[in-house]
Amino acid sequence: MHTLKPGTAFGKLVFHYENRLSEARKAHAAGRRVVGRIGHTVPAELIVAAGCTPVLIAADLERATPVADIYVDPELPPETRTLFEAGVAGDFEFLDYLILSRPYDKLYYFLKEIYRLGRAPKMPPFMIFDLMQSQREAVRAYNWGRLQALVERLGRLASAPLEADAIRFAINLSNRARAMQRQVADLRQNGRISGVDAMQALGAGYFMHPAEYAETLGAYIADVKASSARRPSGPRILLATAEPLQQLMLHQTLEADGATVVAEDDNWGARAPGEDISDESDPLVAIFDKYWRDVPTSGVYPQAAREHWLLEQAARAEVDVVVFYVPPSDRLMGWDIPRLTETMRQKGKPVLTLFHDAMTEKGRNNIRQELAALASSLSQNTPSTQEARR
Amino acid sequence: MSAPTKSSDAARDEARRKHESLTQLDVSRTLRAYQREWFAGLRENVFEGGKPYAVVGALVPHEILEALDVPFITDVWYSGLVAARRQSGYYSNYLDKCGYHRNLSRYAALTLAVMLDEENPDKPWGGLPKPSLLCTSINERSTEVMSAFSGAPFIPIEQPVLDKPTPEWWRMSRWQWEDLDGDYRIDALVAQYQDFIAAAEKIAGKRLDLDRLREIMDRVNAQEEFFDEIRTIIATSPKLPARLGEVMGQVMGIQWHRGTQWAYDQARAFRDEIRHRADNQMWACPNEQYRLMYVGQGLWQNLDFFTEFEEKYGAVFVRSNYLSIASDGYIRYGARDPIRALASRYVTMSEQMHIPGLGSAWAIDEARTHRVDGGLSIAGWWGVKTVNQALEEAGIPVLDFPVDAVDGNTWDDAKMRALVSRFIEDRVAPSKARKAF
Ligand code: SF4
Ligand code: SF4
Repeated sequence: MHTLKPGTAFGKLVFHYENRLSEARKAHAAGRRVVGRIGHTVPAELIVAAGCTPVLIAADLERATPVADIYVDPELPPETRTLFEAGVAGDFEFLDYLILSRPYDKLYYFLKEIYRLGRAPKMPPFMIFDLMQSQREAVRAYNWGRLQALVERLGRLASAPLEADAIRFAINLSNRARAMQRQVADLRQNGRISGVDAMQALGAGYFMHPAEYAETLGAYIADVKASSARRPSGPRILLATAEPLQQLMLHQTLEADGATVVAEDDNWGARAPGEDISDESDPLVAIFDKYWRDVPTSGVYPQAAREHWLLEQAARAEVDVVVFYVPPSDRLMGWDIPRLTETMRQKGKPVLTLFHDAMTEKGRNNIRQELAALASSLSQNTPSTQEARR
Repeated sequence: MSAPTKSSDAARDEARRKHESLTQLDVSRTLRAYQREWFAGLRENVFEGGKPYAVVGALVPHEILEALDVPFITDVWYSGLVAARRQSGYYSNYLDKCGYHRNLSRYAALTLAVMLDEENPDKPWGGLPKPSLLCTSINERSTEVMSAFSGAPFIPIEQPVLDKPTPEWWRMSRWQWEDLDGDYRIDALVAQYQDFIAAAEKIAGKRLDLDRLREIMDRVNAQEEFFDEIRTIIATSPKLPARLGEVMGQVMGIQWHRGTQWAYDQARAFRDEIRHRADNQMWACPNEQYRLMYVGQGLWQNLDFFTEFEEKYGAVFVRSNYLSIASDGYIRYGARDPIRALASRYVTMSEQMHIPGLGSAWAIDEARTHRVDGGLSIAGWWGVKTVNQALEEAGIPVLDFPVDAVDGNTWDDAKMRALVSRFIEDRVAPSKARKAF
């Protein structure tokens, strides 16, 4: 289903998805200030409002980690190891500032220490934006205080306090991109875009300027609408994951034999846009609400808030099977799996739980085998083909 | 997977006999007697009388429940009981059977497993009735499962990130805690404690008395001061006056009841006995040659393991996290606002042993003050690698011990013994010889 050629809008999105630091390095070379964000709960809008170029720093899970292997414990997520390695190697040197989000607290501690020891001299100055993800009033004051501290810090970086108008402007920019991203989600549900393509189209937004991204994405959507590509006949998958989906490996594996991933409960995929940031209230309050309440991180509590989106999506007729991706690095989601599986069963949705690691060849083979077995049992249960059911 | 059988009963009896014969301290016996008495009270009030009780994590403010007279048990402590009965393998497998995969932390969840397994009657205390309140770290996702199973409300505790880490934290923690911990971080816990207090007051049927809480705080400080003295005696005496397994058992046995008059009295008796032994040169192993420290979680499934290297090598274990964190981590003076002081006590509790920089600075300081020749470090907790690395760089050889602290399935006695023996021969002995030279 990879129908759109390089040189097209899609080609540009793929370029930025693959060359994740390209735009940021260009901005740096042009003398603009660049601020890295690790994790999706660092508000890019505030970085834009501070006159800086935001760039999401994502882990390259295929990277060798000889230094991290000395310091970072194997039970921590692979992301922590690779990002630590990148920090020590000097990959972030071009950044003016680096902001880590709460889910990366361990990475923060390890980087702090290795810097203190004088063994990562190329690290830029960095901080942690500790927004607690539980949706309880008890954490509101703390979260608000952390946001104030972030705003103040960015103001110092910009040498001037952040203006409400600048924040509002940045919000409008990002909302425009969100609107386009939601169209991608619709086209996926209709089978017009594969999971692999959608992941790149959505993910590119984390590495491009929001205005340029919205425009490119708009052009891509027009191309898709004009094309005649159709979805293969395999099952349509809703994917929930214990690890951020920053790589295409899992999607490529799942889609290798004709299945289509139509949505994923992850910032890297279908949940990239979420709701718009309100432009009616105080812009800072609006950003606060967005990043506290409308994020799909594993830290969300209570359970109902954490699973609301997933259950809503699973109920859709366009979803044939729910896949839980629970690789060996998982320490959290596994506690929800038996209950979620039971819930889906009660709703009549087939479930496939994958305990394999998509980053290894053995894991990928196992995933393909288990998915194939499920697909054949699905097609035995229904007289018509998947396609005819649409 | 098989249910525990007669032969495991026999193994348990054998372990108990062996443990008895290794007991050197009188307080070990009085502790056991008190635990029986305390448990009888729990049985009468909770199991038979149906009084509501709470299941809580190790890092939540037990002092509040104490002040409200709400009975409670601590998940990791109960897990420790399961491990001590050599049933952690069985209950770990039971969690597998329920669909909870292997890589999820089993440390606290054995308590959940005992509750979920309604068929097997062979459980510590015959099992647990359904609790009325749950409070653990929000990361302890298994508590959500327990909440759904029991219907008890769950108050999660979300720790604020330590954004300004201070490596030598223990030098500030007693009086300078507002600076050490950050007032905004303390505020974050205080706000969550208000929810916990409200929920606990509901099941207690009365309001929290702050004066009573303050008294409890003072008693905890006084109790930890006894532990501090014990640590100093152990660190500075010519040889080790008490075996580590016994010390750890004593410390934790008291810590779980911290704030009570019994805990205070027991800690004092413990201090008295250690001092008496040191004064009279009653050494755990008179032939002491090598002093080892123990880094990380307790080896609760086999506390007597530590004594096995005395005879062969004169190697003794002199130090664990448990005694040292009692004084360095718990003491908070100046408790005008006892809830703030409590929040400070727990806001980085246990993490200061894990966080890179904090954990390693502390381990090195402890190794030096305890005149340690080598360390044994249990794998399976985050931060252990930086601690081990730092110890090695400071000239202290460390054995990375590949075992889950409570999972009986990963324990292979002969293999473990061989590992430690080889470590003493190949690394500790030469390193000590080099230093002496
Ligand atoms: S490993 Fe750390 S967190 Fe876990 S029980 Fe031990 S001290 Fe507490
Ligand atoms: S090695 Fe000797 S001194 Fe040490 S415990 Fe054994 S018998 Fe006693």
